[in-house]
Amino acid sequence: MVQFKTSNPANNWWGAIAAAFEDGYIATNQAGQIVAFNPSALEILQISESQMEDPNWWKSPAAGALGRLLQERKEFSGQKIRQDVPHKKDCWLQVTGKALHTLTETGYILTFKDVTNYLEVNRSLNTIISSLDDIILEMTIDGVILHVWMNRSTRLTLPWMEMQGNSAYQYMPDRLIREIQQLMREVMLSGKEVVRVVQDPLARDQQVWYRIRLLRPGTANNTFIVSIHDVTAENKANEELKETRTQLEDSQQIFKSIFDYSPTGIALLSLTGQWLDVNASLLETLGYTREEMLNLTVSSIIHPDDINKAIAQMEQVRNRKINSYRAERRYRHRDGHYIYMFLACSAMQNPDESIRYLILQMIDVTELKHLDSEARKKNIILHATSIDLQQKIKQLFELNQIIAHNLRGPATALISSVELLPELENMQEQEALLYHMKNSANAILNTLNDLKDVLARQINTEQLPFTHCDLEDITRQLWSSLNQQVVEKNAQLKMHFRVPVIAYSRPYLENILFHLINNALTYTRPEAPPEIVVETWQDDDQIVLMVRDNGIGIDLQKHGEQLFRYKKKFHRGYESNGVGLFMIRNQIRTFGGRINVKSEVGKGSSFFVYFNNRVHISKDDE
Amino acid sequence: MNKIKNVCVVDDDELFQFVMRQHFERLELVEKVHKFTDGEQALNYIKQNLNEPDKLPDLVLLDVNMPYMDGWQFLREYVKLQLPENKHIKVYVLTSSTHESDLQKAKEFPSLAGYLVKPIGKNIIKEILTELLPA
Repeated sequence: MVQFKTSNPANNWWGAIAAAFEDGYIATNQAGQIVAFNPSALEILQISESQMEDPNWWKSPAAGALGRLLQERKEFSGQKIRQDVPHKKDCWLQVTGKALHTLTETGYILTFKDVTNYLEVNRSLNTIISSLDDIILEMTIDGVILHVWMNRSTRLTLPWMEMQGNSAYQYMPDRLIREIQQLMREVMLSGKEVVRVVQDPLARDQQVWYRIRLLRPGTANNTFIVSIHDVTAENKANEELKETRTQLEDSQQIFKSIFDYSPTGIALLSLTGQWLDVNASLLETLGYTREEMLNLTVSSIIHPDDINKAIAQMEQVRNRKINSYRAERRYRHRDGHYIYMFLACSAMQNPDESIRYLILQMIDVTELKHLDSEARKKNIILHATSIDLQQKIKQLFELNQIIAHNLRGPATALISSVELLPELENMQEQEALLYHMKNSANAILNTLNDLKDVLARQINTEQLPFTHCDLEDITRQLWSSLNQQVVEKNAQLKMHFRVPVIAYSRPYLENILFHLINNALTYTRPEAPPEIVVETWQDDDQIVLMVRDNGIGIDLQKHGEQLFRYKKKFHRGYESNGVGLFMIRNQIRTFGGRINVKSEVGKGSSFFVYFNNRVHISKDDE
Repeated sequence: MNKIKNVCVVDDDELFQFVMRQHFERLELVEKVHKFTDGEQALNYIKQNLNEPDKLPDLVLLDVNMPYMDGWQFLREYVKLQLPENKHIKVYVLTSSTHESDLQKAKEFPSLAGYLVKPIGKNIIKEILTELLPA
C-alpha cells in the first residue's frame, strides 16, 4: 500500500509521486521543514512519523549523515553514506540530493536506498577476486578497459589500475592484441565464453602460461569480461605429466616388446601362485597353451622336491622380508618330464606398497645342468684317477725299491756264490753254500710271490666288488679268530663306530683290520694288559678307521719313513715277517686311500686308515 | 806280511755273508771279519769299542736294506760318534740297489769311502783291502 504524508496540502502531488517510489524520499521546503516523505523513508531509517516530522530530531545526532545532508541541501548524485539506523549493525545508503525549483520557492529532495546488501556483495566479490590469482577486466569491444579487479600478479606485470579508462592495446604486445581480438570475434560469433591458454603473453621470453577467458556479461552492451589466470604451475605440471605419461607409455611399450619377444620366459604371478600372464617363450618351453597355463597354479607344476623351498621363498616376499629372489627349480613340462629352470622373481608393488603381483623370469637350464653334472662327474673321475695314479706311482716306486733290494740283493749273492763254488774244496763248505743259496732262491721266490699279489691287486680291482661292510660284525669275528692271544694277554676290545657301515672290498677290509688288531695284540707291554680301541668317523668326505693300542709303541723318529716298507722289522724278539703293514698299505692305496700312524714309545700306537670315498663313487660311475 | 786287523760286514743276507767270509779267508789279508745282520748290531759293536782302537774296524762294508736299522740309519748314528784319534775307518756302502734315490742318499754322507754295487767279485775286495794295507 502506497502511503505518503505531507504537512502541506498544496504540495500533495509531491506526495503522490513520492508514494510510488521504492526508494526513500524526503522533501523540505525553502525553510527546511519536512514537507513530504514516503513510507519507504520511514522503513529504511527505522523512525516513526513523529520523529520524521520533528525538526529537532533532524538536528539531533540521531539523524546522522542523512540529517547533515538535509541541512546542507547540496545537489549530488549516488553518494554512498553510512547511516546510523536502530537495530542495524551496518547500514549504507546511496543518496541523491536535488534542489527543486517551483515558482514560489526552492525545495530540496533527498532520495535514498539501502545499499548495505549490495555493498556486502561487492565486498564479497572483491574478497573472492582477491583470493584468486586472477586479473579480471571489463573491456569494450574497442579495447578500452572500463574496470580492473585484481589481487596480484607475480608475472603478468602491467600498470593495470592505471589502464582503467584507457585502451588496453597501448600496453600489450601485438601478438596478445591479435589474440584478444580473435577471442572477441569468437565470442561475438558463438555467444559463448572462449578460453585460450597463451604462453608468455607479454612476450618477455618467460616460461609462463596464462589462461585467458572471454565472455560477454549480456548481449545488451558491447563489453567483455576478460579473466586472466596464471596457469604456469598447472601447465608445467601438465607438461611433466605428459612427459611422465610418454615415458610410461614407452616403458609399457618396451615391457610389452620384451614380454612378447624375449627368448626368456616371463610370467606374472599372483601372490596365491596363479599365473596372471605368461609370454610365448615360457609357453613354448613348458609346452602348454596360454589357456592351459592360466588354469594352472605354479605349485602344481613345480617338482615335489622343490616345492617347499618355492613356497618358503614366496612366503618371504609376501611377508615383505625380501623383495626378490633367485632360484633353480624343476617345472613339469606338459609332456610330464621336468625342466630345470633358473628363475629370478621380483615383486611388483602398488603405490601403497602392497604387492600387486610377482614378475618371474625363467630360463631353461636343463642342458646346462646336464653339462654341469657331466663336468662334475668327469671332474670327480679325474680327481679320483689322479689320486689313483699318484698312489700307483708311489706303489711303483716302492716296487722298484723292492726289486733293487729284495730281489737284486739275493740274486747278486747267488751270482757271487756261483763264482765262489769252484773254489770251495771242502765238502762241508760246499754244502753250507748250497744251503744258503737255496734259502736265497726261496727268498727270491717269496718276494716274487708277494710282488705278484700286489700287481694282481692293481690289475684286478674289478674283481673286488664293494659291499656294505658292517664294521662291528667284522671286528668281532676277527677278535674271536685271535682268541688265543686275547685270552693269553687278557686283552680288552673297545669299539665306537660313528660310521657303522662302509662300502669297501670286504676281504681287504678284513685283512686291514686283521693286521692292525694282530699287531696291537703282538707288540704289547707285559706290564699293561692290552686295550685295543677300534673307531670310525667321518672327516669331510673321508671315512676314518682308527685302531689304537697301549702297546710298546714305535720310535717314529727312527722308523717312521720305513714303517710300511717291505720286510722292515723294528722290534727284536717279536714274530714278524715285515710284510703285514706293507700289504695293507698297498691294499688301502689300491682304492685311493691312505694310512697314517701316531705313536709314542712305551705308550702305544694309533693307526688311521682314510678311505677315499670319491674314488669309490667314481669307480661306480665309470 | 801285514794284515788288516778288523773288517765288518753288515748285511742281513746270509748267503752274501757266507760268500764274503770265504773270499776274505782265501785272500788272507784280514785278521778278523765281524759279521752283523743289521745296522744296530754293527753300531753297538763300534760304540762298545770306542776305547779300544784295536778292536775297531778298519773297513766297514755296509748294506742298505736291513731290518731294525738300515744302512742310512746306521750312517746317521755313525757320523755322530767320536772315534779315537788316528783311527780311520773306511765305510763303503755295498748294495744291490742302483736306484737313483739311494745314490742321492749316499751323497749326503761325505765321509763314505765309496758306493759299491753288488755283485762284487774277489778282485774288487782285494783292491779295497790292498789300499788299506799298511805300507
